[in-house]
Amino acid sequence: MSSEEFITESLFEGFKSILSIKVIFGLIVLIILFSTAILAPVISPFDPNEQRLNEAYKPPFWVKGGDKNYILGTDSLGRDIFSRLVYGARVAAVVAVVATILTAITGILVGLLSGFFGGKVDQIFMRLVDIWMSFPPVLFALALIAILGVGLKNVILAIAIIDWTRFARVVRAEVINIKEKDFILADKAVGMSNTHIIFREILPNTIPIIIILATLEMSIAITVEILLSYVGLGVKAFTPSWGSMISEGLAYFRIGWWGMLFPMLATIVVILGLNSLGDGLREKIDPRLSLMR
Amino acid sequence: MGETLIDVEDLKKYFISSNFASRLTGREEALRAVDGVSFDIYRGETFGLVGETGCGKSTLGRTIIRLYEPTDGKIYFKNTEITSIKGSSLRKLRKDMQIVFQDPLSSLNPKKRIMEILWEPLRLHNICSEHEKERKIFELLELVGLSKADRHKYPHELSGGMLQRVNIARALAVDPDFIVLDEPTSALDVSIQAQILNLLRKLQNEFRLTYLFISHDLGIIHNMCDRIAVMYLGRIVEVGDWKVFENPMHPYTKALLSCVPSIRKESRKNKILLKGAVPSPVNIPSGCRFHPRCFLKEDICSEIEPDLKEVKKDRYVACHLYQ
Repeated sequence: MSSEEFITESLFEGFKSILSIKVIFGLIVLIILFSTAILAPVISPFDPNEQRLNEAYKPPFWVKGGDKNYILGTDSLGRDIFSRLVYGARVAAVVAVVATILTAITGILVGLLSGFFGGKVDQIFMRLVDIWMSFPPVLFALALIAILGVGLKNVILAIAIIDWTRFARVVRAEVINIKEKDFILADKAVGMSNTHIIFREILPNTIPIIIILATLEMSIAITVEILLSYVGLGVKAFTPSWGSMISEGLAYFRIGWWGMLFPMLATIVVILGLNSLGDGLREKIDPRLSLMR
Repeated sequence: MGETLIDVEDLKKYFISSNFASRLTGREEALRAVDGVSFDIYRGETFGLVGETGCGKSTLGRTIIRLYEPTDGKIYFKNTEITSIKGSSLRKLRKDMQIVFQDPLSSLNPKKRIMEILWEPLRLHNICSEHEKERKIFELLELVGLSKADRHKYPHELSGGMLQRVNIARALAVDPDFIVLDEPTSALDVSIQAQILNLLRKLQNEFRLTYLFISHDLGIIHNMCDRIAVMYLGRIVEVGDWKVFENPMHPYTKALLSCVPSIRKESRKNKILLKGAVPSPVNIPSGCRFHPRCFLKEDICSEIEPDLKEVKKDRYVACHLYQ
């Protein structure tokens, strides 16, 4: 067996071993979310911000009075809800990916240093984490947006500033666990530098936990964005986001239920999917983690 | 006796446990794992270190090769002091001293293939270039009796004995003079133990290696070692060659050897059973640290700590009975 065959085979075996119903459901949701986000201009029949005031409050096509052109109806300004939903997936996907990457990088770095060096470094970082976590996250987010101003970039920044602590704590615990293994001593005996040990020897061993955390972090990031947009502190006005759609839909709820229902459904499915992916992976990869929630 | 390779003088390694409460009261507790140890290791020999669990033998081995910072005392390697060297000279020293651990699985990174594990020491010390990598790794695998195909495997895919061979290969990769064997066979099956011991002996002859062999298994120590040191609670109580087994002098050594299981009937009767448990290394008894359990105790023993003294040729004992 050549080494390439060996690698692909063990990769395939590894992939098969983490599959479960939860994981498959989560993966499907994730794939739909990202392909919708990427293909938004192709999928959506209308410009999400195009207003046709004479076509306002059209119900979904299967309801009496509905129009085949507007599958899920139109809102108070006559904008196509389906197109806005599709473009809203873009915001959700961007927030999920970028905010998660930012929180992960900061949190992992802090966790690695804190766990590996221990002592004073650990004390300082962990007290900082304690202080950070003592703020109620929603109020913290509102305060940060008040300082930074609205807009997608600032929403992502706020999420990263609030949520790095989750990664820091879990990665630190994992590093402390790995650090006690003999192979770290053996690495020292061979003459490896601390930097090499931290990033090349310890970091690869924390990857499974990082993947689980990242999946859960994505759902948290999306929730926070929707929440901020709902109260009007998220993305800028006219950017279609599920959060702002829900709040707009609430305003004309008595005239048309569809304006609020569809973005809510989309949110629920995506959050459920991501949580189920994270949970499923955790059950397969690391049963210990389920105790830590 | 040959030339001295390693000379340890009054080496101490304390672990300080400090927490919030101890800092408030100003009473930090020191765990005295190694508490004033002196001995020489000669080039080409196997120096055995025996003792109970927790007596500090592993800590001693790790402190000598500078994996732990010594608290006090001096270590000389090839007549150069290495007690507090740092940076590039320490990195150079890593090339001369290696270690093999007890648990063969936990001493290999589970996320790396055998080839990557063996490549690290070669790369770090510029032992061979990238294009000689394969050949050199084949050479190492062959040396320790593994097949070429094993290089693509992950540690969890190999058996305990094979893993210990990988650990030995990693230690050999830098072509060291001195290897600390920290209970290299105690995690293995008896049949595999013999194979590993034979391999270690073969390698010693081939490369003129010097071993510090740490074990609690007296049979293996007797079999492998040229000289042995007996350790009790952070100190060496007796040093000597194989005659230590014939004629133990320190009461602790006597008790230890009398408890080796034997099939002969007469030896079963004369077992010396020590009273009580080993005291905690945080709270070491005054005087001779063995006196609370000693069956030959005298008045002086609880007051003055005996030094390790040469009582016969090449035989050192730390006991008031011989001073």
